[in-house]
Amino acid sequence: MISKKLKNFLSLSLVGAMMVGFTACSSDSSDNNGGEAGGTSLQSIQKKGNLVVGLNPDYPPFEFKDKDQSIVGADVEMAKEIAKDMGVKLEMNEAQFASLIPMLKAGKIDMIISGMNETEERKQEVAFSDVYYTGESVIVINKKDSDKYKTKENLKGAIVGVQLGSVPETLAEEELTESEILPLGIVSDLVLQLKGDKINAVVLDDIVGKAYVKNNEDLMLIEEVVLKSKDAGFAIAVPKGEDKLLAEVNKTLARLKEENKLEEFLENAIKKSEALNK
Amino acid sequence: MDFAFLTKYGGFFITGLKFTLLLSITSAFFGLIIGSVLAFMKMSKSKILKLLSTAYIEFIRGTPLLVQLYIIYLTFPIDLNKVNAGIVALAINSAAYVAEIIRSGIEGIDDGQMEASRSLGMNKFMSMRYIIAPQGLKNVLPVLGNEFIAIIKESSLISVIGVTELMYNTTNVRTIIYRDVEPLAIAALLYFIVTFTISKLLVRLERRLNVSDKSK
Repeated sequence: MISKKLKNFLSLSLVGAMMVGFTACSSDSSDNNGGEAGGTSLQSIQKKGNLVVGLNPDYPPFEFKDKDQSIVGADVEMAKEIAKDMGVKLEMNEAQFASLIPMLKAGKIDMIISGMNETEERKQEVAFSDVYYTGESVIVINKKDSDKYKTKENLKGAIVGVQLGSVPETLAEEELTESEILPLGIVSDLVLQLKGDKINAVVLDDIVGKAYVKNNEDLMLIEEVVLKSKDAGFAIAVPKGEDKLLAEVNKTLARLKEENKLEEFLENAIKKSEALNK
Repeated sequence: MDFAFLTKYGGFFITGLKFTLLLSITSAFFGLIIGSVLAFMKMSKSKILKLLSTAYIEFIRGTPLLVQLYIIYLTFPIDLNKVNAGIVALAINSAAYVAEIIRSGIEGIDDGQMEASRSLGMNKFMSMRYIIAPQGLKNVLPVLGNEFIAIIKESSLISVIGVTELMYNTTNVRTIIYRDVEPLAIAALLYFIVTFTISKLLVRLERRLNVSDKSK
């Protein structure tokens, strides 16, 4: 009897020890990756000769895939310029949005250029460049609800979907305080839920929202309502403490802004994504 | 529903299917090997081997595949690429289930079989190899088939780290064409074709193995 109990105890403690070992080992290696920091510094990027940019190509026109399954979009053009200014080759590493920051911290990628909004929570994990895009946000609803939802006030008590960690999420939380905000990971999931009447409205970046309305006959915008952000916007994320790298990125951004290249990239990308839909 | 997009984006689904099959077949193979080793460890007389195997099985079965995947991809000291990380995670995960399936198959064989073959002069290994294992394997074949089908479906989780398998590529198409139901229907159909084919093949295999069973 006693020996049985002892055995049980032993096996339990072994499982426990394994788990501790697992987590201990994992925190060790992430320390290493962070500590190395050489993994992502400007010097090491130039030494290895390629800049690995992490992005989630599910966000046209900023990043999406063309027919040949290669990643294109406004952010990609920007990434090319950044790599060019550093004198290295551009390499893209795709993943779902939520995996990007963990991958950056683990040293799998050098920076994130993926329409990422600068938020307080994210700033505790990574450093952000200057903001390169501040868009307005629009509210998308089902056409059959056009009489029901005409103003912001109409959305009182309604379920409003937003993309987790996006500019629209911040705006919706600030301005639609009477609505129930539902953050989800993928934009197309939001639209799917809207069409299935699981949610009443979706707040999206204006470019993205307009594209959805254009391609879906049963969707429309609440024309009167445009949410505008004061300071939130897209920025490039780099590992914390890489000041030189950040300065280099900001230098390229400033040059592109000065040459009005950012608008040009965006316009071309919009045209490209529209052409894909024809 | 309008499936005209397939002429342009059919390639996304083909690439996706390729990676889904690559992930699931490779990891099922390694999962079967690791799982068998674990099963024999658990049935061995050595207390240490038994404990190690039990701890492995309980820990892996008790934690989500998604967590295991992130730990393997993001924190392993070896720099695994995405596809390899996905295969390792699926194989490690599946091994725990396979181990229990195989153990139950072998323990399901009557003790008398082992005693009989030992008394015929076979050693333990030979009895296991020629008498017990073939019967046990036959009994658990349907369950192993289920496990393989489960791996195929679970491989869709590997999409979070950006392996271009079927679900990941389906999302890509959904965002390009701004429509969801049609690409999701295609993905579901492809998964179904694969899993249905496998389950039919397994039924055939079972029938063939059963021929030798009894001369009814």
